[in-house]
Amino acid sequence: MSARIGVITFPGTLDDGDAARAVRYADAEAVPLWHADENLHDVDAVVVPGGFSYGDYLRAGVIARFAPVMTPVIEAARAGMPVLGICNGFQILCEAGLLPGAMIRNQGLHFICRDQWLRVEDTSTAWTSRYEAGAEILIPMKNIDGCYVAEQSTLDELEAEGRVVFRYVGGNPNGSRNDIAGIRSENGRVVGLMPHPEHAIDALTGPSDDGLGMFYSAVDALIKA
Amino acid sequence: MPPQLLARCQRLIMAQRRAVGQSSFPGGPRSPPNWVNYARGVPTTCVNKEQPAVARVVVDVMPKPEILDPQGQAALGAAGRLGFTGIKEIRQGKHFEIEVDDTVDDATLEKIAEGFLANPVIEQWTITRVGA
Repeated sequence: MSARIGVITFPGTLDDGDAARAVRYADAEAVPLWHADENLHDVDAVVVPGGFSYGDYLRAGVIARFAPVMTPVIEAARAGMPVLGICNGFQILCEAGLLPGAMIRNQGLHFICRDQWLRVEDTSTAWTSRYEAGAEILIPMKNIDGCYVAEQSTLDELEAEGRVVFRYVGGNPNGSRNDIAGIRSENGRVVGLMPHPEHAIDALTGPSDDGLGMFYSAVDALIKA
Repeated sequence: MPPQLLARCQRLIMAQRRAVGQSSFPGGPRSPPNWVNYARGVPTTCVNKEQPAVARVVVDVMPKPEILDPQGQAALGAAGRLGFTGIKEIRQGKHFEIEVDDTVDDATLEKIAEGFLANPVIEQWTITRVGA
């Protein structure tokens, strides 16, 4: 039986289709989850995809964080279920307190939409085990609130514990502290990043298939479990 | 009776009334139902006479001083280009006006501000009760 990976759709989510496609590329079953769902339909992992949930009103991700489906997601994540937040999904996981820090408006105020090189800094997580440490990958990024910030003590802690998973390479595009593009939870099961691995799973439709490694990694982690 | 036939009968009846000098609408205009308060624009039955007192609360949310505020910086730059002199700093935040009844205490307001209207990682906030 293949792994069941849930993909959440909030009102305003854009990338649930591509996220589900990436899950299927990794030979897992993509299970659609709706923002109003009270349970996770027995999924083994969850992807919180990108977009503009609830129009980014109030603050990116904050209203989605209080959607009914997030209660079981937070519970399951604390119990060790692999959860991946991409772009708006990363913002939602930060608002939910599953990952530290927050995203603010890009320095320079531009909506940045381009293919971006990242360095994989941590291959111990449930979502990055398929990469070689220090590998550089090319995946798209597209956001306006992508500047990662956190208190200095939090940044020091992330660095000391090796919890920076992805770092921007070739110049910091948006002012993110310490060039941070993605981070992980303490137990390495929850990962969030601003760029979009689900858009880079096939050279036909993306700049590379570098993003597929994240979904293969999750399937590996679930088989081992 | 099929609706087309019913409509045809009604047209015939109205035509006959007009032919004998009667109004198409015998009885004239109907008086409004007694629950519609036209002056207020709302049904009087919907007005709750025992509404709790409503107070206005203002929550101002600002980026923390140590957090970069690129929007404020952009506004500052533009103010200079527009020829306004003497402007030293602009920071951009959010201003919420909330109407609450007297069941909402200060602790609840603090919870709303800290857990929802502001993100304590990047923002600070003030809560002000203004006169009812």
